[in-house]
Amino acid sequence: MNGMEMDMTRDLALLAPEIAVLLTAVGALILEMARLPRVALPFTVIGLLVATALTFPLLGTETMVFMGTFRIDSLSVWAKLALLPATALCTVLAYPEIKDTDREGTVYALFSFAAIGALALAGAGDLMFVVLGVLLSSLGSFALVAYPRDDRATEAAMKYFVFGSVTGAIMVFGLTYWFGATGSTLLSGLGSLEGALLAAAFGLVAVLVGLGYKAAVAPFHFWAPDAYDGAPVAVAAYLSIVPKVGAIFALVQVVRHLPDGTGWPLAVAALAVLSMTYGNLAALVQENVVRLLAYSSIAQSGYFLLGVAAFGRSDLAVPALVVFAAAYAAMNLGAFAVVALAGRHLRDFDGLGRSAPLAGAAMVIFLISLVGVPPLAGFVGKFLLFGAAIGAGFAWLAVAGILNSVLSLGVYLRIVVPMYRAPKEAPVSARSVAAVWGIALFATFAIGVAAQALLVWVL
Amino acid sequence: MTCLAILGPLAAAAAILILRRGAAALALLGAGVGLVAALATLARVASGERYSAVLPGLPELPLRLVAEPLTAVLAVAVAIASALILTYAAGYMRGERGGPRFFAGMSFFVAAMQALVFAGDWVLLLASWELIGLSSYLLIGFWYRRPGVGSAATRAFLYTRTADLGLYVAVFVLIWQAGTSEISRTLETGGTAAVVAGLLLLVAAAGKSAQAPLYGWLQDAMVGPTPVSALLHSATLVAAGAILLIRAFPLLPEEALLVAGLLGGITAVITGVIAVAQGDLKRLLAASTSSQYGLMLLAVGAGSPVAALFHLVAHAAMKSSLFLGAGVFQSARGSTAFGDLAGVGRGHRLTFAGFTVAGLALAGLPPLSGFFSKDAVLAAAFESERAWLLVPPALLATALTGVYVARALRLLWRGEGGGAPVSGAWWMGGGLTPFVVLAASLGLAGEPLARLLGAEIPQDLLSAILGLAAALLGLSFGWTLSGGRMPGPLLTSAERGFRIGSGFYGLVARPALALAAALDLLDRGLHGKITTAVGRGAPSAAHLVDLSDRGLHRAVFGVGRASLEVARATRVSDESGIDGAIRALVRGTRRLGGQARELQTGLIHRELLIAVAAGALVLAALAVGAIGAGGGL
Amino acid sequence: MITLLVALIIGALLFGIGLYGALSQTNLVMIMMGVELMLGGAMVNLVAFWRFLHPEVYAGQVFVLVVMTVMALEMAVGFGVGTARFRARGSVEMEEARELKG
Repeated sequence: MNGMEMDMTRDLALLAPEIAVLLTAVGALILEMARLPRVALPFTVIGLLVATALTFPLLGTETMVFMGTFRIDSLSVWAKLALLPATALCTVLAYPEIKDTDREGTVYALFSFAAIGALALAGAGDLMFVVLGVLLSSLGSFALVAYPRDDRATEAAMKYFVFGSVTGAIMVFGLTYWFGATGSTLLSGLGSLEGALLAAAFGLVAVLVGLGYKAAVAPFHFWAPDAYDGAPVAVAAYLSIVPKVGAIFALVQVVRHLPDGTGWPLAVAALAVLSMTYGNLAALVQENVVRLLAYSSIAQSGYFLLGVAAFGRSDLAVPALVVFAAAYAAMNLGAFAVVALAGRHLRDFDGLGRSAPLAGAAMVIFLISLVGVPPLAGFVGKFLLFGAAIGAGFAWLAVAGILNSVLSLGVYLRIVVPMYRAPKEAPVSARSVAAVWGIALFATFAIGVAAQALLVWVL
Repeated sequence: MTCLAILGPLAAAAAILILRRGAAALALLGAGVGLVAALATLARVASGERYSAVLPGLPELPLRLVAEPLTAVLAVAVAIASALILTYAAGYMRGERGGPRFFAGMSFFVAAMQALVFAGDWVLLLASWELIGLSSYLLIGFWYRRPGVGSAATRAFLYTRTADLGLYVAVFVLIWQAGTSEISRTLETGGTAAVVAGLLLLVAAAGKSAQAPLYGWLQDAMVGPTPVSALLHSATLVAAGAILLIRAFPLLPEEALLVAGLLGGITAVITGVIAVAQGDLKRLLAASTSSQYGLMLLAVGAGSPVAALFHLVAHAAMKSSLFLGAGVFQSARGSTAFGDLAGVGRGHRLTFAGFTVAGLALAGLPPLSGFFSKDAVLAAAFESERAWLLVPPALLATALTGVYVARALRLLWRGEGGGAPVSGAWWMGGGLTPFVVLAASLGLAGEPLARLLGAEIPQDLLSAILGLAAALLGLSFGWTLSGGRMPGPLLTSAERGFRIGSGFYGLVARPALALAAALDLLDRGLHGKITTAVGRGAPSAAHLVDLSDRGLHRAVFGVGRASLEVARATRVSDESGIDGAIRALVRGTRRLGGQARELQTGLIHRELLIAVAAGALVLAALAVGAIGAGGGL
Repeated sequence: MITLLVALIIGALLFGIGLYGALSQTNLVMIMMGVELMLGGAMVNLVAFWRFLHPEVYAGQVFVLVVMTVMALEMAVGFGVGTARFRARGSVEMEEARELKG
C-alpha cells in the first residue's frame, strides 16, 4: 500500500507540468467568472511559463508513469518545452483580437485545455491516452474556432467538428481490433501484433486517419484550411502548431512498438510524400495568406512524417523531430503573428516591407526559414529530417522532400515579392503582436544557431 | 586568426545594417580585416602549418574550418578580389540610393564565401553554399524596381537552387557512407557511392558555375550592379561550383571525371560562341565566364585540379578587371549595349588600356597571366588519357576567347569618343588598377602556387604553341569581324536574345553558306579556266570536271543548308528548350496547384468521403501486404 | 468463437451504417447520429473482445467507459457548435456552409 502511494507521489511529481497547465486553465476560468478578464491573460501566460519551467528538471528522464500508460521521454518533454511557450504566445497573440469581448478568459482557458490534450498525445503510452488526447485537444479547438460566433467562424467550427468527430470515431473503432488482437490497451503490447497482421492493419489505418486528421496530414487535412480561415488568426496559429506536434509525436509513440511487418514505415512514407506535395501545390495558388499558411502547414506535416518514417532505423529521427518541432513552432507562430499585423489577404502584404520594415524583414526570415535556408531554424530541422530519412534507407523520400522544398520556395516568394513593391500606409501594430513575432524571430535564429546545445540535451 | 577572414566581413555587414551610415568605409574595413586574416593564414600555411578548428554544430556533425594550402590560396583570392571590388564599388555606388543595403549584402556575400572556402565540413559547406545563393539573389535584385530585375534574380536563384539538389543528395550520400561529415575523410569514399556522389556534385557545380545547359541565368543576372557581377564571376557564386569540384577532386572516380571534362568542354565552346554573338558588353563577359569555367571543369576532368585552380585565380583577376572596366564605360554612357558604347575607349584611354591588358590576358597572350593559366589547362588536356576528347574543345574555346575579346576591343574603340564624366572615378580606378596589374602578372604565381600545393602545374611546349596560335587566330579573326559589318543573321540573333541556336546560326550556318557561295564563284571561274585549258578537244574530261564540281557544289550547299536546319532546330529547342521546359514546369505545377485546390470544395461531407476513401485505400494496401505475409486476425 | 464473430459482425454493421450515415447526410444533427452509431460499433467490439478473448483484462472495460465519455463530450460540444451555427445562420445544413473553400 505504502509502495503504491509512493508510486503515486512519484508519478504526480513527474506530471507536475501537466498539472500546472490544468490549474492554469481552471484558474483562468475562475478569473473569468470573477469578472477579472484583465488578470486572466497574465495569469495564463505565467501559469504556462511556470509549467515550462517545471519541465526542465525532467530533461533526460526516460520513464513510464501510471503503470506504463504515459511516457516521460525526450519526445514528451520536448513537446512541453516547445508547445507550452507556443501556447503562451498564442494567448498573447489572441489578446488584441479578443480583448473587451465577453468571455475573454474562456479563450485562454480553452487554449490551455487543448494544450493538455496535445501533451497527452505526445507522451501517450496507452490506446486510451491516444483517444483522450485527440478528444481533449479537438474539443478545445472546436470551441476556439467557433469563438467569434459569426457566419464564417461557425461554418469553420461546424466543418471542423464534423471532420473531427467522424475521423475520431473511425480511429476508436479501428483501435478496438488492436485491443482484441493483443489483449492490452498498452502501446507497449503492440509488439504481439506480429502474428495478427490483418488486425494490425485495421488499427494502423485507424491511427493514421485519427492522428492524420489531428496533424492535418493529406488526405485527412480537408478541415484545416477552412478552420484556419474562419477562426481568429491566433487560433489558426495555435491549431497549426500545438495539436499538430502533439499528434505527430503520438504517432511516434505508437509506431515505436509496432512490428515492421505491419508495413507502417511505407504507409507513413507514402503519406509524407502526398502531404508535402499536396500542401505545396495547393499553397501555390492561394490568394489568402491564412489559407496559404494552412496548406504550407499541411506540407510541413509531410516533413514531420519523414522523421516518423525513419523512426527506429535512424538515430537521427528523434532529434530531428524534436528540433523540427521547435523550429516549426517558432517560425510558423512568427509568420501568423505578422499575418495578424498585416492582414489575411496577399494584397495586404503589398509594400509591407517598406511601411513596416522590421515586421516585413521578420516575415521574410520566417518564410525563408520555412523553406529551409541556413542558418535559420528550419534549415537545421529539415537537414536532420532528410538525414534521418536517408539513414533509414528512405533516400527517395529525402529526394521528394528536397524537391518539395524547391517547390515551397515558389510558395513563400509569393508573399515576399509584393512586400517590397510600392509602399502603402503602415498597418496599426499592437505591441503584443510585435512581442510575439519578436520572440518567434529570436527563437528562429536561436534554434538554428544553437541546435548543438539543444541536441546535447535531447540525446 | 583564420576566423577573422569570415568574421571581418560579417561584422561589417552587421555594423552597416545597424548604423546605416558610413557603409562603404565599414565594408572596406571588414574586407581589409578579412584580407589581412587570409594573408596571415596563407603565411602560416606556407610555413608548413596545417590546422583546423572545430566549432559546435549538429550532434556528431561539428562544424570544421580547415586551413590548408588549397583553402588558404582560395581565401586570399576571395579576399583580394572582394577588397578591390569594394574599393571600386565605393565609387560606383556614389549617388545611388540603398548604399547600406548594397554594402551589407556584399560584405555578407564575402563572409559566406569565405566560410565556404574554409569549410572542412560538408554541413558548413552546405550552409554557406545556400547563403551565397541567397545573398546573390538579394544583390542581383538590388535594383528591384527596374523592370525585369526581379524575375532575373528569381531565375538565378531558382536555377542554382534546383542544381543544389545535387549537392544536398551528394552530401547525404557521403555522410551516410563515411559516417562523418568531415570533407577530407568523406573523400576517401569509393565504389558506387563515389560515382553517385561525384555525379551529383557535378550537377551542383554545373548549376552554380553556369555550365551547359544551365547557363542562361548568368547572362540574365547582369541586371545587377556591376560590382556585384564582378564579385559573382570572379570569386564567389560562380567560382563556388569550380571550387567545389577542385576540393572534391580526390573523390571523383573515372566516370565523373569523364563527365566533368565533357561538360566543361561542351560549355566552353557553346558559351564561347554565345559570347561572340553578344551585342551587350556585360552579357558578353557573362557568357565568357561560363566558357572559362568550362575550361576549369575540363582541367578537372583532365585530372589536374591544380591547373583548374590556377586558371580560377587568374580568371578572377582578369574578369574582375574586365567587369570593372565595363562598369566605368557603363557609367560614362549609361548603357552596356555595344551600340551605345562605340568609341567609348577613346574617351577613357586609361580604363581602356586596362581593359585591353585584361582582355589580352584572357585571350592568352604571353606574358600575361592568362597565357600561363590557359597553357596549364591545355597541357593538362594534352597529358590526360582522354586527350582526343578534351583537346579539341579546349583549343576551340581558346580561339573563341580571342574572337570575342578582339571584337569587344574593336567595338569599344571604333567610333566617336566622349561620354559623360564618371563620378567616383578615383575610387573606381583604385579598384581597377591593382586588378589589371594582377591580371598581367599572375603568371608568375604559378610556380609558388605549385610548390605550396605540392603538385605540378602541367606545362607542355606543344600545347603552348597550339594555344598561342589559336588565340592569335581568334584575335585576328575577331578584329576583322566588326559590329557594323557583322553578318545579318548574327544581328537578328542578337535581337533574339542570343540563345545558343542563334549563335550557332550566325557562326556556323552563315559562314558555311558564305563558303559555299565563295566556292561556287571560284568554281565558276575555275570551270571556265579548265575548259579553256583542257581545250575543246577534251569535252568529255570537261564534262567530268563539270560533273564532279557540281557534285562538290551541291555537297557544300547541302552542308550549308543542313547546318541552317540544325540551327533552326537548336533555336527552337533552345527557346522552348531549357527555358521553355522550366516555364512549362512552372505552368504545369501551377495547374496542378489549381487542381489540388479544386479538391477543396468547401463541402465537408464530400471531402470526408475523399479522406475515408483514401483511408480505405491504405487499408487495402496494408491488408494485401498482411495477407501476402501470411498473417491473420 | 462463433459468438465472438457474431458480435464483431454486429459491431462492424453498426459502424458501417453509422459511417454511411455520416457521409451521406448533409445535416449536422444527422451526421452526429451517424457518429453515435460508429462509436456504438466500437463499444460492441470492445465488449466482445473483452468478454470472449480477454476477460481478465479490465482495461477493456475502462476503454468502453472512455469511449462513452468521448461520445458524451463530443455530442455536447457538437450541439454547442450547432447552436452557435444556428444562431448565426439559421440552419445547420452542410450544403449551405461553403463560404470557405478553395
